[in-house]
Amino acid sequence: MASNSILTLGPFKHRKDLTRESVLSTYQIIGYIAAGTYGKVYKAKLKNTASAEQLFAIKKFKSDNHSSNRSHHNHDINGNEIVHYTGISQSAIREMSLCRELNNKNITKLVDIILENKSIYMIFEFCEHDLLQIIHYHSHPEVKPIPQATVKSLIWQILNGVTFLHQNWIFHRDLKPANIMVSSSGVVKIGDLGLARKFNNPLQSLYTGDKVVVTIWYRAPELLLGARHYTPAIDLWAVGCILAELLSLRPIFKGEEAKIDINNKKSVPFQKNQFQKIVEVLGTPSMKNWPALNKYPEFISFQQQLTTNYPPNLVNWYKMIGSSNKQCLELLKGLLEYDPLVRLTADNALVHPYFLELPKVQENAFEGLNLKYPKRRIYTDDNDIISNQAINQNFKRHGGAYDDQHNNSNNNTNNSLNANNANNVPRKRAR
Amino acid sequence: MSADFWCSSQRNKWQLSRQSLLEARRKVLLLERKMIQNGLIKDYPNIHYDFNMRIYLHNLLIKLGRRLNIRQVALATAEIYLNRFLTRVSLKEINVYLLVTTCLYVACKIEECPQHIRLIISEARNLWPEYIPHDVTKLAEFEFYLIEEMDSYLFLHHPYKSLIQIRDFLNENSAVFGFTLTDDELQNAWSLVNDSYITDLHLLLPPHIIAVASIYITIVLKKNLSAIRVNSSAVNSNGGPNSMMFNRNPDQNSMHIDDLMILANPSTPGSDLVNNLERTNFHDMKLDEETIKINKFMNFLDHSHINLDEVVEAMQDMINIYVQWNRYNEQGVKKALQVMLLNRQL
Repeated sequence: MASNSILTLGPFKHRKDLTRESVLSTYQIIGYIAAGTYGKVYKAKLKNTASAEQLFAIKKFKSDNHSSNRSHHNHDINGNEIVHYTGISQSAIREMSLCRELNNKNITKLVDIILENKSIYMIFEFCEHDLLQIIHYHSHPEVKPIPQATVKSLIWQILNGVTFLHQNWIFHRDLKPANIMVSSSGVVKIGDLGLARKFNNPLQSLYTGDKVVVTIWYRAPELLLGARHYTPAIDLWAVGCILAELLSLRPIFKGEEAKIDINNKKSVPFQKNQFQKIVEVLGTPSMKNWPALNKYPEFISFQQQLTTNYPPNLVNWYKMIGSSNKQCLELLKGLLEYDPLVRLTADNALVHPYFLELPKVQENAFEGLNLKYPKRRIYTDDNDIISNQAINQNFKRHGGAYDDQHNNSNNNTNNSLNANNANNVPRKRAR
Repeated sequence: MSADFWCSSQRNKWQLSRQSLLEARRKVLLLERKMIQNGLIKDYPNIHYDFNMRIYLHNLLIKLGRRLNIRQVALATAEIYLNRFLTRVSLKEINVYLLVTTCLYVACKIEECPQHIRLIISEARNLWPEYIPHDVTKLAEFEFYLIEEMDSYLFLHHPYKSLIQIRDFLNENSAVFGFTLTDDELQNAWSLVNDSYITDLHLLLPPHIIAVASIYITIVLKKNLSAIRVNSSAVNSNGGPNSMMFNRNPDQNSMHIDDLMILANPSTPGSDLVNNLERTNFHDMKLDEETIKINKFMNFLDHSHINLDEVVEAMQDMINIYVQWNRYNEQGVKKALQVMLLNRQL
């Protein structure tokens, strides 16, 4: 008896659809930057303005990422995908709502959100660089270390952004070089808050919400041990890994991820190889330096599978990569503490002696650099932001968020890019 | 920002003044008239966004929330979404049952207690089969439109947190301020906050003001309780508040919803409630235990730099709910909505 017209949005929808400003009426798409699990990012500028100065990065969520049910996808007679509304994923809605609130110079700035034609477009300020690209530049074709002053300013700004997030009861949960943007004036902008969430009085254990967080190489040991109630300290571990990578130009703990069993998605495997990589550098943890070690769910797996006892070796690692600054090593040690209770907090790290000695931390991390990082590569062959088909077809074509004009399909690069891939950070199941 | 109300989108983007709220409502009415003239919608003179409607919508939300066992804070978030949405959209162009369901669906995600879209739609269908589609895409579609209408500002601060903060602060500083909140008092204040979502207060005032108002009403009401009880037996609340957790069987120590209704009536002994805020009245009060507590609470407010004018404003609106609730006519709203929605197909 109830007809369709009652059950729909009624006249309201009609009115809104008539008056909505389209993405393309405001922005002109210059080209596309990168694709990922989340969808695709485009470079754009304002339409109808003479000044091309202000640039934007428009993130379009992949429809099957922000929605919950693939079975709803059909194709029309021409093979074009017909997308249905299926509910915005927890991850997309977190990123939307968090970015709308956050305002800090070390967090990527959200300019607007446009909901149009079943798609979500998040419009950010465009950032010319990111750490993945910068590290790549310094390691290819030959290795040329990033100057200490730059490393220091970058890491301080990262910590400043992380402090801001933590003060707002938010943890990022996916810090890694690819997610740390840097503007052309050398200002760090932490990006991709797709896994971020508030951590004050969670209704359920954090584990219940998302079984796996943080890209494997940057994942803290307590997460590898299956912690249910982890803390913001997981972000500081990731910052430690990023610091090490800025110094050595390669990931410090480059483990291989044990994949989740497709037939048993509920159980998360113990990440033996990743843990092994950590232990080789930091030494095998014990109840002495980590009293709660035996309380973690994966403690037994850890005991059974990592039987060799390694001595702490970070000091040697540090020497081997050619670094010598004592305070920098101290900071690194503090960030890579096994015990999350002992690990440096973001605001403590900000006032670490390393940052108090010369050279001074600069607001422009590139200050004094006599080199120019290449601009972000833009793929102008695809500037069709509207079609849903383009996203799925081109998804795997370009991996990275950086200018790969130096790219000789180098191993290190490709591996880094894989770390950004779908497999390493399973997103929250959509609702 | 998410830890700080003062730099939140709730304050900087969505806090309205009485004036701007009035203006927004006027615009909705104008829009409505235009749509009627252009034949886009029909006029249903019995559909108003008045107290009757607001209590009805409030109850719809609570009913659905109960079925899904959803926490209070998610319900509160959903109700603010509802209030925000209806400052820009006319009731006559939407299906309120789908709106309520959508608000709750989005609120659960934001409050980190997500409900599966299929579950939420099947529970809503159980309650309102004529108005809720089988098809989840309709709910998912409305989600887009709801978020768009709020300009994607979704994070909220609620008075519940302020209540707990005030309680804890008073506990820690009982030596200074000389009083604390009992569990009963906290519970009563909490219930008053639950009901406050019927009003516009959450669009107009910071959450801590509403929290303070709820504590003030609680404490003052306690003092006036015995005086009120004399008159309270005659009241019969038809379809009265069901979110109130007050004990409905009056006993000496607990409050009764009817007390509030009488208190809200200007001709009863409790009517000096609001005036009590002006401290001149304290001289006339007998120095019984409750009066001392009110004095001490006033002393605390004085030291807190909380805007007392706003507290008074909040109290008036919060008490007014119970006057309105006395006149609430559920069947009237239900029928009017039925006529409108079932005729829309024609």
